[in-house]
Amino acid sequence: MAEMKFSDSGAFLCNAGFNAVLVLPNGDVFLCSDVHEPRGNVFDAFTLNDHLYPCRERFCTCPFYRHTELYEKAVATSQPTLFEDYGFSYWEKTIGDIPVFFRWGLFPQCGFHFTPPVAGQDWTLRLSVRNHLGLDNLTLAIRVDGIEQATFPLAGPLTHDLEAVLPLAAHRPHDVQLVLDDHVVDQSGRALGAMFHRVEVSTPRFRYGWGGGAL
Amino acid sequence: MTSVPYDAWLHWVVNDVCNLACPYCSAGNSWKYDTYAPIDIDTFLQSIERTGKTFLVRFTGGGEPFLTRNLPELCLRLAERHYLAFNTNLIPARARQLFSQLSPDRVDNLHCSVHFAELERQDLHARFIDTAQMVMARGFNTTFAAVAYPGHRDRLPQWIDMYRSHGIRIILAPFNGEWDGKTYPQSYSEDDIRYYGFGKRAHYFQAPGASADG
Repeated sequence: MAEMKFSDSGAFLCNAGFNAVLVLPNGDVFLCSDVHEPRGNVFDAFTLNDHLYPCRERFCTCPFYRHTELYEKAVATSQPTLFEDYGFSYWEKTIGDIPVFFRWGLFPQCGFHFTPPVAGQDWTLRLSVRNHLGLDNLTLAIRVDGIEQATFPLAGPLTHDLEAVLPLAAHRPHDVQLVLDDHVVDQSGRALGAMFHRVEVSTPRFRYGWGGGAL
Repeated sequence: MTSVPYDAWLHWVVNDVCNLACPYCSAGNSWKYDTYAPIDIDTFLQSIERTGKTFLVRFTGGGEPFLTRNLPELCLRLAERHYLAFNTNLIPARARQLFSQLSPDRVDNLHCSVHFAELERQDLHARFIDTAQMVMARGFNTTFAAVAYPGHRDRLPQWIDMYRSHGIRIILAPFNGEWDGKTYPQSYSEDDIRYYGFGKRAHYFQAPGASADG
């Protein structure tokens, strides 16, 4: 077994997504069997990360890091992990009654659970969102624990960089939801609207998130 | 650092159907591979060539990968530039067909699952052993693994001895699931761990969902 690497906050740095990925029968590519972060499709195009993945699972069912040679190669050749820690316990996209775990995609509503690790800090949510269909009336609402904190217009086919201060208590799990207007769901119930390129929650001392142009 | 001749690993769950019906498996015995569309080989090869990387492609499944009909053709073409690995029960005829043609130099590992009870029920022991001896004789890096299913505890030594007499050494992998009201692998006793020879791998049992891969 290769020497295992950990982030400063103790997350295991895995080679999943860097030089090992899961492929499903339809060709869809995911980071691994436990982290359903899409990486494309083997019949179209797929991408690999340039950094190790900070994972909270120590004893996972995924065999990737047990491939000693590939794990060592990943440690030796990967770029520094973009963020100290992803921090989000999961990223949930909701279509109808079916919650599916994804980090980005097309969806009317998505969110994550986040537990601030320190007290006495304002937490800022920063988003990069693209209104890729150019819808005129598209708006995005940010809710924390079910209470709306901010709304942003997303008019125009542009990428919008947004910021909102979140009322988050330390050491308590919060449910942060990003909700698009109902009118962006078409008649068949298909979600239309926006893509999230980058989401992070940060204080001057800590930064948690994902992004970096994965799309 | 040990070197491998590939840059990255695609762990491809090719399908979720199986020709066997093991009590410890979630894939079941749907045997509906005729409904599976063949893999679009040209499109797949073009896609991975665009990455510029050399891949290890491990074909596995929630079932048996060789139930996908054109898998041998894909593998022969992939092996021209990439590397292969397999998780298979060795029973489908096209598995034997491929392994009689493929160069062992292009195969990282051939992980053969030995499902004793199903092989016995379907009278397939001889077929498995024959193919296993062929792949070993051809020089593939081969492992043979069986599941330490608590419901088969008393039969396992007999089966393992029989296979050993044919030159096939079996490794036992922990069972993940429910049996007799208990959750495994956490419910293996110290005696079980000694009995199945898990040894150092026992630490995998300390967390829910943990497993050893053979």
